[in-house]
Amino acid sequence: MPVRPLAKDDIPQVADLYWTILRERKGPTPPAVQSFLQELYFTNPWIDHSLPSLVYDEKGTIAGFLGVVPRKMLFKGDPVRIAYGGNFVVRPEFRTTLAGLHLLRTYMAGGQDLSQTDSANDTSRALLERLGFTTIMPFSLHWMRLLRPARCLSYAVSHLSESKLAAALTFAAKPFCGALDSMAAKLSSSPFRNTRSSLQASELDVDTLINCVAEFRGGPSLWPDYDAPSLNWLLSFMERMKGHGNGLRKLVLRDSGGKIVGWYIYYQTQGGLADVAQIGGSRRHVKEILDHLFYDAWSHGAIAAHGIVDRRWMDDLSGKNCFFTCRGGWTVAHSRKPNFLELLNSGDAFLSRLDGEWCLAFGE
Amino acid sequence: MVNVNNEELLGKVRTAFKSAFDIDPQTITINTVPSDVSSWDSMGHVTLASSLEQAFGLTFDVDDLMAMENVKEICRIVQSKLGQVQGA
Repeated sequence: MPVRPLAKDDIPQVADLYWTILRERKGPTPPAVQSFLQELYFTNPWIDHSLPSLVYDEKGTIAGFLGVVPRKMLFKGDPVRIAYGGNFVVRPEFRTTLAGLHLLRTYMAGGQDLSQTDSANDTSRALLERLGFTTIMPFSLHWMRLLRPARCLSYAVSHLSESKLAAALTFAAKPFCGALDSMAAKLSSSPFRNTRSSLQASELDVDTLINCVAEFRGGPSLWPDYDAPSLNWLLSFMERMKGHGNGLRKLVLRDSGGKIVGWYIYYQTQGGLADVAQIGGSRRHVKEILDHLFYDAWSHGAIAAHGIVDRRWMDDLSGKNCFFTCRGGWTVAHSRKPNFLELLNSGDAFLSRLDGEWCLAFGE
Repeated sequence: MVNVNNEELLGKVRTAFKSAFDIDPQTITINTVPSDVSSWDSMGHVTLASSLEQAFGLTFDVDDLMAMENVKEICRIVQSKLGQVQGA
């Protein structure tokens, strides 16, 4: 079978596949795409040569690719091997070779305890489910909080319609949106009112993050096994690749006594979504942590904040006028050990978007 | 036991192809391979498997799915599964 591990020499062909087919871009592949793939698949800190990325090699032509990034987790304190699959793409002229099925089958047959992806679309979810994957609902539910509702509406119109009329209307509405959003953020009766939190914020470093997760993750059976070198690499990678925004905001929050009560990490995009990679903290301070996040994202120009639901925070997210949706990428998983799927489906895990392949995206 | 060349079996396989790919079922022969049907890609393959499951009242596992590389193999697997059902 033509499925084999990805080699460094394959990167130029994989980069072209990624750029022209997966990203649907025209023109030559930017050199930065090759650097991104090279770094992600050959220098990530979790490399495990027994869990390689895969290519479908049709007589020298790379017809398909499935990126695999192992991540370290602990199950009740014991190490677990998780292989995250992503950047799955097959060249259209080779799709009747069923290259996609062969790549997925080889990936599933690897030595990992759990195969997982955290950003499957509807099509790949359907394909993966037919091959034996399970949709993990607790980690597929997303929350969204509108921060500039009028701009959100305008943003939605401009993204749903590519007509010149829609673009003109969006442009013309800009000043009105600004005025409406300003009122929405300040009126005391507004559901979009942004409240300044009393918590004190400072830059979050990786050692503090590791301590925060250890202190506030609760008592789940599965959690990420963080260490400073790999977290440093990950946060630097996210910052440089700009996968979901222009910059990364990483803040730790303290109460008036200086005690750490929470933290968050999100992609900051002026005029776009504030995509939250991880948020956590003390149960007693959830509302204040959310207030701080929303105010910070709003003051940096975001039109809405968005993240994965931690079910322990569901009532507070609802209380802060967030709405919930599954339209944000599916988490699907496969394991030969049914207890892993059961614990994921019961939400018995501390998993965030920092722990999968969502955070390993390439932006422009 | 149903024979591979059984026209009834091939007829039902053709119906499953029509349902999955919306193509003229008469274009499907025992020698048809995925490259003969433009929409028979990985996603099309799992749609076809669902159509075959409906047509024959069978369930295919992942190994069956992977072995269904062409119409001849599909007929062989369906025949074998039908034999198992009849023998049960």
